[in-house]
Amino acid sequence: MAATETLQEERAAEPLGPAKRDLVVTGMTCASCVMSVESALSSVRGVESADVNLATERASVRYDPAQVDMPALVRAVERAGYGALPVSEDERERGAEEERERELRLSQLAVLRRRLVVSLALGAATMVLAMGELVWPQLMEQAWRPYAMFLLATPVQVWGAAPFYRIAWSAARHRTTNMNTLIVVGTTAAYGFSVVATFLPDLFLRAGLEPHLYYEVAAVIVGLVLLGRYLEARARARTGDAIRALLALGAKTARVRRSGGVEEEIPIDQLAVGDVVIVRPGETVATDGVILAGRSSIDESMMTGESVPVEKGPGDDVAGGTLNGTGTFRFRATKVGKETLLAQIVRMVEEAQASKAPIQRLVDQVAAVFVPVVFVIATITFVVWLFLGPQPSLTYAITAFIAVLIIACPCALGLATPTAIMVGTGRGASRGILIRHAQALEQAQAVRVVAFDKTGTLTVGRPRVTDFLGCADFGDDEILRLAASAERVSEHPLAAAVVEAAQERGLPLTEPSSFDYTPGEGIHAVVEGHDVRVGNLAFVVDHGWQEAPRDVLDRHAGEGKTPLLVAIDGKPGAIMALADVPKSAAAEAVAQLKAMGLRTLLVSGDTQRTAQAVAEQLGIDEAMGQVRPGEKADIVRRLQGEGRVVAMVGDGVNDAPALAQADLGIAMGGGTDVAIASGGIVLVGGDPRGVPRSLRLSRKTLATIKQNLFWAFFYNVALIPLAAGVLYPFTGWLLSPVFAAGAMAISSVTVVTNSLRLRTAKIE
Amino acid sequence: MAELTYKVPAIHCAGCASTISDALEPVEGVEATDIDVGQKTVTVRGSAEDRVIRKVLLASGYPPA
Repeated sequence: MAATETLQEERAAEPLGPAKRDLVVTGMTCASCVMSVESALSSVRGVESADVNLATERASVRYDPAQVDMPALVRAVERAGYGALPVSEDERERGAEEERERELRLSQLAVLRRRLVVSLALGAATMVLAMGELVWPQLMEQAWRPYAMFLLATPVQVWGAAPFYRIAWSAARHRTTNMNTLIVVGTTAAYGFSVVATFLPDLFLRAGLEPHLYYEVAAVIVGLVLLGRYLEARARARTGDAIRALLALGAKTARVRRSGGVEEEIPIDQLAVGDVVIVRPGETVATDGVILAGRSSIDESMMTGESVPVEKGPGDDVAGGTLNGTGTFRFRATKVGKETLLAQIVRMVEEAQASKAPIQRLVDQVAAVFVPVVFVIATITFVVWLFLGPQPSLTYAITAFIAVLIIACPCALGLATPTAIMVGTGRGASRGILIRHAQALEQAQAVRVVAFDKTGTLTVGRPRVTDFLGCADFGDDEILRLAASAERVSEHPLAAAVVEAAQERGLPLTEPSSFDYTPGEGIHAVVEGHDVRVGNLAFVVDHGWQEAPRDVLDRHAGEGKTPLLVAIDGKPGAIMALADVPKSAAAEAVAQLKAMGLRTLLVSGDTQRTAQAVAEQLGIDEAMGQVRPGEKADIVRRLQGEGRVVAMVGDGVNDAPALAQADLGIAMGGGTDVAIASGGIVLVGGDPRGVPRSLRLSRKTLATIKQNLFWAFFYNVALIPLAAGVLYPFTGWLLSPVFAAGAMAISSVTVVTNSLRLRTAKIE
Repeated sequence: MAELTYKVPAIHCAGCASTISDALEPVEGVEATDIDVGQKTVTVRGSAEDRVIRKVLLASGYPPA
């Protein structure tokens, strides 16, 4: 007994972190449903937080696995009247699951369409019988008319509206209400009143009332609401296209070279780290890896948004999902499955789409009180019409009551934010802009100051030869060729820059016959019988550089460049200057930001002079040099203290605190994992123009959300007074419940269509 | 023909040696590899670039010293 207790204690003390799992939630139709599912999940013991997204039909739950498990969460959702299915964490299973989910949605869409067609047809027929007196005046007197309308309207009410009843009922059991409650109460009132009037007309006649029929109102409303749902479900299926397009990029098979040179085609999920994969012209690269042999130009636009193919050769990294050009090459797989860049991108986009924008919280809170308030308004409307309205007052009261309930359905409200975020993040992903969470979108449009890290963000991040001053009489090319041949064996970044400069000029390098290296000073090699030294002044001063031109060296130092001197056979060869150069698109990115009215700032660990030089070259407003690693975050904090909304753009570990401190952190994709984890937005390709692009995309997405909310509120709030008959005393005009249903369907479709416009929005 | 030699501390046995030679064999320009388990050295003959060989060694879990 004591032993078990200790065991349990140990188990409780075990630091079990909160788990995070996703659930597919089916059956949600509006913001109220989202609220119900969220509160159902949150009320389970051990659940820390639950984020429910209507557009993706996902619930993202953080919970303590020691207190609650997955089946308990599924049961909680089911008790609230919705369907739930845990999303598997295994990538392979997820493929099959997504397929099942897609099939499920398609079959649901088919069922919805059947309900829609039948309900609309029967509703139209009922309408003909209701209005037919205009063509055939005797119709009203036909004794069979009420029974015929009953026969036509009943299937619509019982079968067509069944989904509304089901959800409204489960909401009622939990003493909550949602938009389905509004539809159910409204149409049931119309239908029920008509049934009584058909079979027991005496009840009305005795009270001195006319037994009016409202079958067509009930049937047509159900038909129109179903139409709205159907169009919305179809449009909603398209908002997730961007993710599906990303997933479709992945290769299905890979051609693997086994030891001994045998080639074998295997399914992608059997690929393992260390496999040698062969890529032929036009094929998709199967997974992430490093090229072993062969050269090709590779189209990485699907990941980076950069349309120019990148030349790659042995030693270069390739990413799965990119498209091979005309060359053939083989590479060693370094990452497979969910570790690959493509899988990480897909995961990030999914998480962003499931995250909730702060603006949506407000919408949810409004939606939670909306339905009860509407009921109160509808009841007041009914009572006022009944006692103060003109004759037949009951008819007017019922008409206005139903119209208010129907027009107020908050379905467009629930779609306004999530659909815009889904389409916006998807659009970003296709241009190499990964939006990590919806908050980043909201913060991005408020940004006024953009602070840039220098190295790796605005510059290429490795030195290049910028100046070359030849001093020997056998030509610059020959000097560079000998120096580069000597440097070839060295691993130093400065040496690599010299080799690159020679290769750019197409100079044939040779192998040095001897080589030695003095750390921090330079190299000494014998190339084709020449004694070659490349290094700093101290290293070559006794080999022909006794009278080095100080002015040249000082000028280079002043510009923040590193001078490298070459001595050949004890005589001066050349003075080279090496510096980290700005990325080709950096100046354009800065110019675009300034055109958008933003202030730009360069924060660098280099000397103030170097920082100033780069800032001037790129057109950046202000430069801050000699910033120690920890100080970048302080600078951001100081700017925020001045009341500015700051975006920080960086790539390194030392940028991470500043990225986290900034209102919006933009991480360069080529950078370190820490930086990427701290960024709200990640630019996959490392193109600085991604900064203005992502800010523009954020502005457009938020503008779309605001337009959507306007349309949703406009329909709901502005039309409620009309439906209640406020205008009647002045103009004699009363909104028909049928038009109310039409307006509601249109508002949902307007909102989704407006969000889909983001797919083609200009962000360049 | 150039010869590049690397000190690879992670080499422990003949198994490591065959893993390394399998990893280097498909690299462009590698004509022969010689792995000395006792000395923990890898010698590569051929025209392969130093940068590529280092990267492949790193990717296969045997970082050169």
